[in-house]
Amino acid sequence: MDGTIAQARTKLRGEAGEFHKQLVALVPKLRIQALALTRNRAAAEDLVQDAVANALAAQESFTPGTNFAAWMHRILRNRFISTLRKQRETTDIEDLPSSAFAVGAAHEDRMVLKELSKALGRLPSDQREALFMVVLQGMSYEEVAEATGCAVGTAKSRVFRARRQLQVWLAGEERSASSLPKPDERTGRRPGVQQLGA
Amino acid sequence: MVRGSAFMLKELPAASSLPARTMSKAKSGGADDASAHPRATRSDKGSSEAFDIWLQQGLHKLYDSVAKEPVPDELLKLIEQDLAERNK
Repeated sequence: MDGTIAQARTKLRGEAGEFHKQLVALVPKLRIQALALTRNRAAAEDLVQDAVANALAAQESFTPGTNFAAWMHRILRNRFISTLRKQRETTDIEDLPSSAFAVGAAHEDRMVLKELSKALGRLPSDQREALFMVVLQGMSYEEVAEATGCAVGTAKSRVFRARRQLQVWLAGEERSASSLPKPDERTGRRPGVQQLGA
Repeated sequence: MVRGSAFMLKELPAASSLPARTMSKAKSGGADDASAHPRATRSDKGSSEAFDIWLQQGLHKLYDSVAKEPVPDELLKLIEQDLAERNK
């Protein structure tokens, strides 16, 4: 009997250790996802911490051998939806990664990155999240769909629309965004599309 | 707007790998400009692909440093504390 309990404890210890190792390894990706959702460094750090706390409390509900990253991304996303969505409009340029604008980068380079960053901030959070997952984290559309609880087609659409919307804003490639709202007949401008340099 | 964006594409160092044709097109906004055509063309696709490459490089410039930041001590403690409790 004692041997059985000891074996169970050893097994649990091993599983728990593996769970915690995976959790620590995933923190950088969770941070990027949180930043994509909140656009605010402090809020992103809080969101990651809250998601990790939730995951630790709910770890028995995770089935070993299944997709841990998708499970964690869903927890973080749900946490964001339940607590932070109303605060996401607090974004400003100071919330963006300062290191990208720091020494070493030419003035023009910094300006370009700021423009890109501002444009990213104008995207819907679900599009930005999907874009970051694919472009920065190398996730497949299937993985994005699993992590965000949507259909694969929806994940593809979010990334496509994000890319083309950014292209409209930053490169003036208006025709590439054929799925975007039609321009106003009087002004020629698309609803929600701000003209850079205007 | 096109002129401003051409500046951006030109000035981003990573964009030096963009196809020269796309760069000159974006810069000139001339007859080959995608916006001048009624339907999607091969140059549209090339332009979008070039932009996607530029975007990928820009995103990495912005966020790679964030991803490389160490896990905060507070978070590590939280995880280690949970592990220690489960190992008791």
